[in-house]
Amino acid sequence: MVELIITQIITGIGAAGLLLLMAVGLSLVFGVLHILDFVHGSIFLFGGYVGYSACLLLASVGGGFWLSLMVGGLVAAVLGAFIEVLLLRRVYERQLLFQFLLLFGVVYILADVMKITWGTGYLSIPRPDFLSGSVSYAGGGVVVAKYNLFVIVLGAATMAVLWLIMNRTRFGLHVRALHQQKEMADVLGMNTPLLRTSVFAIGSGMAGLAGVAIGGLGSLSPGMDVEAVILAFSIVTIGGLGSVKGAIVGALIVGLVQCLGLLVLPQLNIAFIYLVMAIVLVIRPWGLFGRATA
Amino acid sequence: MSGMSGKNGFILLVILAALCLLPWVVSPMMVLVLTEALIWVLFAIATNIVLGYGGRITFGHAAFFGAGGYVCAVLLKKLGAGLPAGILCSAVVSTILGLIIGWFCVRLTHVYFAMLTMAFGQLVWAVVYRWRYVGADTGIIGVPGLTSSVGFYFLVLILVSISILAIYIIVHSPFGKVLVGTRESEVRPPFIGINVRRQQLVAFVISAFFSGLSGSLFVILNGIAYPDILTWVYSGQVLVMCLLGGMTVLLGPAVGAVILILLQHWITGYTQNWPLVLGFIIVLLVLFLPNGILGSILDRKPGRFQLPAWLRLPK
Repeated sequence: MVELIITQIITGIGAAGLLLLMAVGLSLVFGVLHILDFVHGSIFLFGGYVGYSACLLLASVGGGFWLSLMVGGLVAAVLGAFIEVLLLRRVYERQLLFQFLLLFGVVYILADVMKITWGTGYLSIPRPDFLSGSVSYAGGGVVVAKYNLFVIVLGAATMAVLWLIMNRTRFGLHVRALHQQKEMADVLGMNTPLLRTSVFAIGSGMAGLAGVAIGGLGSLSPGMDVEAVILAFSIVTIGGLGSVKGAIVGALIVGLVQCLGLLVLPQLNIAFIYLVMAIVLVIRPWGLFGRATA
Repeated sequence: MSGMSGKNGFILLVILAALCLLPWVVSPMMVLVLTEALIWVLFAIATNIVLGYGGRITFGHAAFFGAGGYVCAVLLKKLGAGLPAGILCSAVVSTILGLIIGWFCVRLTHVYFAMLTMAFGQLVWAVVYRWRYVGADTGIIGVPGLTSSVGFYFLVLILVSISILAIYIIVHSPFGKVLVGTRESEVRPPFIGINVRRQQLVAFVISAFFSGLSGSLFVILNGIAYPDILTWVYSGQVLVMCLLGGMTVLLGPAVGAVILILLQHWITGYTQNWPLVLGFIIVLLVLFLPNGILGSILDRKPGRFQLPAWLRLPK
């Protein structure tokens, strides 16, 4: 029983690694752009599909998986930049409802475009050889798929890179300035439109990475876009909108609730997540790590 | 109700008379489409009580629509209840659900209100989706009740008309004016002794009642209750209807609902890519026609053609 729980916890952390990639981008975008990025899930799925196609094209070349991971992330980032420049820029000053509905429309468009391009079937990305199979610990009691460990590493590595960019570069300094006060950043001569586009592109790129990674874990199919974004919303609201630390804790909570809930009450393991989200919102609307004024 | 006399009352009577005559003019298929449009009209206007009048973005209203539908399906299919009992009970259960969910939601505003309504909506969906008794992911198939499509059309027409009249009276009552006051400011109404949360809660519950009513009619029309009617797809679609017609006008959501359903019926006849079309409609609306169709006509400078003033929100 203990082994089973440990296995589930590691699986949960693995799930959290993926959710984290999604949620951090979402949180970053909300913190800097003050937009509830409803297309985040669509970009995530789009990145996954692009990764799948890249993997097919590169099947003969070695290291196809790694290249497709990069291609999926990059294409997702470019798509994000396009959406920001063409659409989001026009609605920053508008009410929340209009921003939300605009993105809602984009979700519909992207969902249909993806359905036309990649069909409605289940597509999965072949894992590289050394990531298939599993590792066992504690004399075979705890069995963990290698890919799950990879996903944990991917999540942690991306977070580390993001942390370095945000805290150790001039670009990161500007983004943090924009996060604190847009007017002042403007006055100091920062190129805030470009900064916003970059932030949105970074968030989208992370979603794309998560999409490719999940294509190796399970399969990609229509409908995953909104499923993923709603899950990511629940994470960032639990952790606190706009807080990166909150997104990490939120992802861990949701990943663990999902996997441990499977052991306790499998019928209600999805419901548990929304219950946690509702409870957090009622008690601390700004989330565990958010700021009350946001 | 003074504003409804004379010319405006006449326009309304003409619309009602046209709606009564339509079943004999259009094809039987079209009668079903019109019935569906009328059901969405009620759902959209009900949602707009919270959205347009209360000024709160609800992204989980499908919970009440779907709950009403499921209660009706259980009563008619599993317990053998009659049509009136089924419809009434679904509205009542949705009202109770609205009271429970609303009690928590009215404590929040803006993004947080939207997120909490979404969380509760998804919670209701997640429970129903795994609940064996109500058919889990397949839902309840073969709900009886639809014997004659024209007969049902008139039942829906009568129920929807009465409901709209009731909503009109509610939003133009002192309660409705205070509600709009709480939309405009969180801070000022308490100075004159108004409890913002209570106003919002009452609006939420009224909205849930009519949403549940429309959900039960929807399930009877389609003969099936499925988990999708509880999801963001339906919550989102109803917001789009409000946007399309105009949230600042009582009948705006109604216009949006009719246009969207007819358009959907028309376009799905040609192509499978309705979501693509819908997506572009939404994007264009937000960018170029944020007040919606009816709202934009109303906001024009005084000219030859003007919509009656009673259609506007109380200010």
